[in-house]
Amino acid sequence: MTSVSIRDRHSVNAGGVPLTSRRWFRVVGAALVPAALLLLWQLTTAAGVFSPVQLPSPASVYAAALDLLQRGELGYHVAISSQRVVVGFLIGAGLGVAAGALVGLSRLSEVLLSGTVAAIRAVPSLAWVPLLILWLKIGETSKITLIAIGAFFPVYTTVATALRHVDPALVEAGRAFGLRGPTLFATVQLPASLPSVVSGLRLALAQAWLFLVAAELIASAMGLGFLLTDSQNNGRTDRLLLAIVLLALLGKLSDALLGVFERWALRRWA
Amino acid sequence: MPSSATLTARPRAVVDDRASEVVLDRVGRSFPMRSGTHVVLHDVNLHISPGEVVVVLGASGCGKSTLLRAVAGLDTPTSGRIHIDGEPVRGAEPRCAFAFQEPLLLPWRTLAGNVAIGLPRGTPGEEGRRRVRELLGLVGLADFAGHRPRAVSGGMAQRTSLARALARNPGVLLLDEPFGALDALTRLKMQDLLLDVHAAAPTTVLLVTHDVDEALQLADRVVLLGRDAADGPVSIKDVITVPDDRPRDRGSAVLADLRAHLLEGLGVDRHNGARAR
Repeated sequence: MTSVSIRDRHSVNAGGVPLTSRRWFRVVGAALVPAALLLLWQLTTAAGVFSPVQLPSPASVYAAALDLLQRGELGYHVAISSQRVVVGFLIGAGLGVAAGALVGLSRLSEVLLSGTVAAIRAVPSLAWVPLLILWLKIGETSKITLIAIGAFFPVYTTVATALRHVDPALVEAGRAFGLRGPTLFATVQLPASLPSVVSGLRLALAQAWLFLVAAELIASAMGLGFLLTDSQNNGRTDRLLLAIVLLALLGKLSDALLGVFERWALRRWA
Repeated sequence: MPSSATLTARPRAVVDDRASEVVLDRVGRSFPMRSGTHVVLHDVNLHISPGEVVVVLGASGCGKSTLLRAVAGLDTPTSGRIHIDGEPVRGAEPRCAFAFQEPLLLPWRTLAGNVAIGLPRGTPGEEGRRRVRELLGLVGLADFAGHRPRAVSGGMAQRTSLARALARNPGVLLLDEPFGALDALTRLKMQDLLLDVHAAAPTTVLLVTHDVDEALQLADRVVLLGRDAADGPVSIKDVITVPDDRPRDRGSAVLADLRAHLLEGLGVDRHNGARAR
């Protein structure tokens, strides 16, 4: 008998690929709506529906980008914000995996910890800001801590849930062959829960960007969140829109990178 | 060997002769329930000689699997003792290897990677790879070493599961309805494969099934589990020594009589009148 997966692959290669699965159509199709939005933006500003302070034209936003780029400020804002997101995400996700593993694997830790963690999770992100500033001062530490808090919970929840739902028969089979503790975790439980862990990581990354802006809006002298408040205070709506577009692009880009990793993980482990 | 065409592994070279003695001494298992204690197994005594094939036969839900899990150290009896080669069983037992009703392979590992799970801890890499190759050859899967479990049939997955158990080089091979989920033809082939493996390397085998024919085909002795009262605890009702060397004629008259006897012990009507007519 030939294998199922081999036959599947052949039937896909044999042609008859639906239009919505073709690469060129997916790329062009995904660009259609942003292009239409850009056009609408251009038309309304050209027709003078809004004043330039309310809604500057795409060209003036582009000019603002070039201006900031030449002064070296744009790269600086983007770099510092990205750095905060990456560092905060790594710390929060790492702690989330560790805490999720603890609660997902040990009934005792679940009893002791899960209620408390759920209560801390219920605290809205902005409520942490005054406390973090009081304890950690206005600096990198307080911002990265806030981002780490944001990244922690999605990872913690998905890891704990995924580990609790690993097929118990598979775990018992592992135990029957002498696997215990860390070896059992690395051989059976972690790979079995990896696909859902990766989707938890994607959620966490989106949260990290959210918390970045919260951190930078309130107290900072650089970064995209600072660019937002600073532009608001100076009436520079063009820069404000620029910051929003940049946040959208950066968020989408980082998510796409994790998406590549997710597809690899699903192929490898599912 | 220069020729790669002769890949039929000689089983004797693959599985070392290692057979353990298993003694169950007044083994009982009960589970605490809200309405009191539910006794599943009561006073099970069994002495299995090294290299013997013992089949435990019983209706579903009679505690067969509980008994097997206790021997493997995956479950602890509430009373009695289990000894393997004179040593008590404590925790997951390294002298036992288990094959389950489902193959329970890790879907992200290749068949070879799954068989390697069975290797004893600390097997050097090169030797481990050689043993995995030989075992996959033994169960007829040499060409499928790189396949994932999802890409092979149920019978092939179950053969991989058997190879994984053999990789442990076990003193006792524990098989929990290992062919129960397979189609009838594949099941017969798997029984023959098990007999081949056992003939080549006579390890002790303890197999659990509800299939009377499978029991008679494989066993040196058949242990019939059952209860005296309808809601009473399960214990050994009968032990039958099956005559004849294996492989056995599936149509033999002696086996037919034993079959009728065992079915009666399981509470299945033998339809005597129908046969007399």
